[in-house]
Amino acid sequence: MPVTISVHNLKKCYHNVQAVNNLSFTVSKGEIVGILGPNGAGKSTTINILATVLKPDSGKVIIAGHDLQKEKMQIKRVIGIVPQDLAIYEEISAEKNVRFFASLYGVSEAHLSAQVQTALKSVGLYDRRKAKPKTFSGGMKRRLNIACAIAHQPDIIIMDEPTVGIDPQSRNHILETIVALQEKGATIIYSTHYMEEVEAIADRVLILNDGAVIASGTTQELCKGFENQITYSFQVDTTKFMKESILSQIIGVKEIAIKENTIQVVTDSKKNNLNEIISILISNGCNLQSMNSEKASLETVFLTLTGKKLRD
Amino acid sequence: MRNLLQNKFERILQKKAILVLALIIMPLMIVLAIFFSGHSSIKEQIGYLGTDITNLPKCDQYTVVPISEMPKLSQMAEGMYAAVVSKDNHNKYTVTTLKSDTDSAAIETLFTTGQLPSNYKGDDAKRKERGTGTNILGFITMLIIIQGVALTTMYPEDRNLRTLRRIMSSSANIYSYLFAQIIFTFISLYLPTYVAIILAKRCFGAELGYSIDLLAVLLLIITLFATAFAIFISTVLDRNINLVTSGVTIITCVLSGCFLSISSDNVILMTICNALPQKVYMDIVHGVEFGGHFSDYGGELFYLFALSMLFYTITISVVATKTSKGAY
Repeated sequence: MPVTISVHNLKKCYHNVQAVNNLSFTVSKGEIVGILGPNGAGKSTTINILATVLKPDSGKVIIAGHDLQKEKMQIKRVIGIVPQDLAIYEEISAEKNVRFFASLYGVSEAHLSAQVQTALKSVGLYDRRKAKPKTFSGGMKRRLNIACAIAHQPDIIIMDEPTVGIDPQSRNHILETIVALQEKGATIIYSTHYMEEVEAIADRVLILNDGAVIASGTTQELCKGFENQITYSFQVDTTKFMKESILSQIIGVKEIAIKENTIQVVTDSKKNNLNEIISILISNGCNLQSMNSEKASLETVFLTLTGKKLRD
Repeated sequence: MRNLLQNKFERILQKKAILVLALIIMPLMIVLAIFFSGHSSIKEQIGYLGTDITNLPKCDQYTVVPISEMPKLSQMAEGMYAAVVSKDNHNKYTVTTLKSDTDSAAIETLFTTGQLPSNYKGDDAKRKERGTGTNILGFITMLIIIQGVALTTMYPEDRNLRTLRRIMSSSANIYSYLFAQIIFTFISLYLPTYVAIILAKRCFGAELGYSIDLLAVLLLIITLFATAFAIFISTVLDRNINLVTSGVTIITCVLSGCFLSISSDNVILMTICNALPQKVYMDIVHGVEFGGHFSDYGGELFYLFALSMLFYTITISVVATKTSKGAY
């Protein structure tokens, strides 16, 4: 697949904080690339640069063969942006919203109505096209937010957390819409906090931290180094007598977290140490209520790479 | 550009408060301003509190009426009495008034000598001296500046909704957006105001003090300035835009003599007043009403034009800075 987005050594600094630091990645045509990262990782800054609304300090960005520094207008014509905020007008109809934003991309009057109709249908809002968004649910507004970005039929769609705070049905519909857009040939960059969304739709994942890509690949590739890792979660009646240092002596145990009545142990699955863990728990006064195990997931990889420390 | 303008008009149609203000209240206030400016004021009353009411003084500017008790201060504030005069046992007159010391002294002279000082001008005389057209446009100036900012409300709204960022990422850029906003504010300010004035003239036969053509040009000057100011203030302020504008506009309009000529011996105050754009505009308006030509006011016109350009320059500079910082 030919490369349609190429980002090389991108840098952006705000008030002495390096938001994006030597960021480099590529996106192939027709690909869905998920961007993951904790708060402050540089996701939104990167997206705003790609969306042409923010100027980078340095670095090179080529989108659809056009240099961002020199051919901004050509880039604007081929991209569609779904912002994190609900950037829609509540007081004019859904149809007028979509028509307005599509018209800004120079769609001719002859094609505008048909394209607006297609966009509204693809997000499941065609029947409510005459209604004002102020009467919509949160999920419907999010879908309209997407329709406004795709009506001019862009080759590249950049989505910044498009499913924040919506119901599972709307989220599911949005994910289906994204896959449908990809099937029609669109290239999609999808930034989110929801790992399961990325696992469901992304062909490839970029994990950002401190303004740079710290890992990239398919979900399977990213989980590869963690395939022998398993996480056990134990519900116990009390953790009063349990100490992390006791469990850490068991061979294979990598990480322990004790919180209220839950004890979480990350361990090497090849070491077959579950019996030993349970017996130590019991011998230290923890009566087991329930337990579950989980193999390494994208979330495990993400938390391992970016750390569990809370971010602002 | 056409799409951006159309979007503004579609959205303003949904903003009923602004619509009512622009299309009903503003024209109504303009009609009232014209109506009252075109009619002679009723002579103000002076209440005389005393027993000897046989030889009360008479003059063109005040009517002296005998009263039996001191009116409340609120009645004076409402304009029922311009002043109350009482005489003590030593035949000395005491003037109680909310008017200036000059007015108070003139009224005392009226009672002691039987006539007002020859150089004294009351409010009504001052209004007549200013001209009807100057009075009308003085009042309208304040309304236009305040309304201009109200009509620019969709620009800060677009920033808050983040729709501006969406517009900026499209083929339209921030400068074409600002240009569309300028055109929209200008049209929405100029047309209803001009139509309201013409209707008032036709319906009530009001005397405007200018020909229709001259009025169109004078209105154009203040509307262009008000548009530049509205864009400027909406760019530099993020919140409380209408509140700040109303306060600043009322104070500067009063100091500029939009309602009544201001004169003071304080050099600093008068220098500030003379630098105010409304004062410069009032000079043009007054001069033109009394037969002057626009070419006589080249300096004043240039000043207003330069100030408008300065507002636009600052606007562009602030927008460029905020855009580079990702604030929009």
